[in-house]
Amino acid sequence: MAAIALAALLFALGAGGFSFQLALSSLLPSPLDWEAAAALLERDARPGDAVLISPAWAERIRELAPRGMPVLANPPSAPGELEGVRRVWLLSLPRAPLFSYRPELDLLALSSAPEPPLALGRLTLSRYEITHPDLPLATLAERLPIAKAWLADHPCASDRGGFLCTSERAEVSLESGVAEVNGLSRSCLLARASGNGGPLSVVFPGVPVGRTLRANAALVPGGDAPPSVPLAVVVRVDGEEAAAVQLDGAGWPAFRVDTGRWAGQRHSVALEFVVPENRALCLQAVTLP
Amino acid sequence: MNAPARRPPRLIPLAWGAVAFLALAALGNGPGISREEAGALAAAGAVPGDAGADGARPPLAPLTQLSVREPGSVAVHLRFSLLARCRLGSALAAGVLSALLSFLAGELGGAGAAALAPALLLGPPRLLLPLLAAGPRAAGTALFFSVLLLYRASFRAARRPGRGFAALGCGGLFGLALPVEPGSCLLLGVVLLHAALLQLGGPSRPGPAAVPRRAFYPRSALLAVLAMASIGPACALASWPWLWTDTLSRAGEALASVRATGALLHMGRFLPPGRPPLGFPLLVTALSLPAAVVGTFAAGVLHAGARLWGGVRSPREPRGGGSLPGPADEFLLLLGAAGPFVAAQLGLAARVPGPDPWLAAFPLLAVVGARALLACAAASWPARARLLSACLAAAVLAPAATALARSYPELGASWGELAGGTPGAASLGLPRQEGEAAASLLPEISSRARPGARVHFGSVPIAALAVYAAEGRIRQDLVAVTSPREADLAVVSVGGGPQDEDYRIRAAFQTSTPVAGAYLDEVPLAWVYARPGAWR
Repeated sequence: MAAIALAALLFALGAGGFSFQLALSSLLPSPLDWEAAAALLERDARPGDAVLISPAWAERIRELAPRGMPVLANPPSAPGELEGVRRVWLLSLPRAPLFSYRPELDLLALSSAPEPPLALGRLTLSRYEITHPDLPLATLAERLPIAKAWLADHPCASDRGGFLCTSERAEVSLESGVAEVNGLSRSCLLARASGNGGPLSVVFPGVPVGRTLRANAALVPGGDAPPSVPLAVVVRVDGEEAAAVQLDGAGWPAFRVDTGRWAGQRHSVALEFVVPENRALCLQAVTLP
Repeated sequence: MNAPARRPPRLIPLAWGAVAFLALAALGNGPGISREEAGALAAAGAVPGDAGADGARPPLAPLTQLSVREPGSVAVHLRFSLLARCRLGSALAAGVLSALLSFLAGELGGAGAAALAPALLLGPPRLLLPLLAAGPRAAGTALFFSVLLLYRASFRAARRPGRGFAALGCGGLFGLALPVEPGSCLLLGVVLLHAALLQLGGPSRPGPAAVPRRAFYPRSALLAVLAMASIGPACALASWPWLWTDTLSRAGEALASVRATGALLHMGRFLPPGRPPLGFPLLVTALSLPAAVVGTFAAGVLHAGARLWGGVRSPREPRGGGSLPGPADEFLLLLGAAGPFVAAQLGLAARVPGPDPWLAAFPLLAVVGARALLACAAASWPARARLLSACLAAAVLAPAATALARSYPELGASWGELAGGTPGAASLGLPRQEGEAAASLLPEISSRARPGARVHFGSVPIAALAVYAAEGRIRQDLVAVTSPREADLAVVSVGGGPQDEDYRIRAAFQTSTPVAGAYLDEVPLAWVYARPGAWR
């Protein structure tokens, strides 16, 4: 009896595996499906739209999506993670193995009820209107080309939209980039130090300031370096200290600075921080209405 | 479930050896070069490049170097590419392994097992790839299996000289295996434990001699252990000139190199160096191989365990008379299969994706699995045992063959049905590849890059690029540059972990839109980015 059961089990596993292998292609989108999704996005997308892919590996759409349209691989867990986005197009592969509806649920928590999803072959596309979009007045990383920077009183040299700062003991490169921090990609000011980094000061002129400045800062994980190193960030508006905060370098800690005194006008905003020795720091800062 | 005494098949092992060698030689040109293989190619001096990220590793043993270096002009005349020529040594080792595996399976389970066992080993893409790739894996696995085969002969052979020669051969081969794969030192523990238990008499208590049996000789097993402990290190020393100076310290360094170092992506996070989580090798095996093959291996272990238990409870294998595989064999098969898994669980195995680090266990699992499948068919339907065996074998091998056909040449990105295939594995956060997928983008780069374009190949190893360039897979006018800022085109390997390299290139190229990608089942494995005008 045990032998018969085992034979039946092996047959079942074999037949199941064979069927899975044969059926896998038919569960996944064809090139035509991707092109249809891209064409639809090209036609209907507006500024302030982004594409969220589900599952996170379904990145083929990056080849085809309209240029400049952000493609997000991870569902937002907080409104701040959809910075500047008013509508999200959720592009799903619902028949893919181990497909999860979690991105949809996360989006539903942030948006009004979507229209019924549109089936494009084995892809589905649905549009979500974010109920309280996070629309910053200014993103400091995007204003880096017009900023000025100093490393321990030494002015930094402009370098392809960023800065290259050198002092006696260190060299720090500063650019507007993307880094993977706390499991998600973050667009931020990316400062990489080789040698013992000194205090770096970046001044952004003419920044439209609202009632709040929101920032996150963390070290980019890498190598055997300890993830948790304390970070200090000072925010100045027109040379006046608005906040000085101490953060844990691990995770993706956030802080808010009350800038109500300066709201409604353009001001010079400066960020001062120290990049730990041979590490990279990702600092995201936006001004909010 | 004891089968009647039979003469082991001879032609099937020979045929399997030839078929495996030819098949692997033919398939050798397809898969790209992973970081580990590139390190082996560079260390062997086959191509220029960095010998590996871990500079502390000892150099390759001469036998491994010999197997990695391209052979003479015959292969060139046969129009083998450089990569295929460098992989011929592994193909040869895999051929020998297949023949030996078929031979042992035939001895223990008859012609059916001899025919089936190598297919169980060579069918799943994740087992085929390390046997096909240049490096020590195939030769190390073949030597591991050969040592166990000779050890078995050392206590099984009917005549004393035969047992003595087997014991000496066992020691000699162990000495060759040590430099190729220092992790083979666990063989000594396996045979020591086996020989000790043979002495204790569990499997060897005298019993009724109702069935003709071949003898087994526990003292000869001790002789083999002694040979391994004495001749083994001597052979290792003689065959590896690197050990001739500062011997003890370098031997310690070689043994220490088996420890798991480096980070490996597993279930969405990186495993730190040292011991992996409990059950890691079993889980990776279950997820990376076709479920039917995993089921057959599991059935084989249970079957061998049941036979061992039955043999211990009612011994029918006395000293000096018998011809059937008995508890001594079962115990050896189980110990041999368990050894590499235990080593991996203890953190004494390389940190590379998939089941490669405990590959040496799979030939033994294939033997017990094939035998269990045939025994299962025979017990389920005795009157049509052969037909049922053939159907069962076809059912078990069909998913592996289909997976192989679908995933070739991206064999390293293939995962089993339990993981949900490559898409499911990507969702689970399992590694996708080790830099080899960039090879499949080279034809498109060569055809569409503008003349004289500067290409940043990212984390593709230098040795791999040297091979691709020597084979003409990279257009000659393309210039490799080390910084994405200087490049017109950039290639990014997508391993499934953090995508910092991808982000850096996106920042340098000021675009997040790739111009081409390599995919397996819609899962991205590599991207190409281009500056305006660089992609035609």
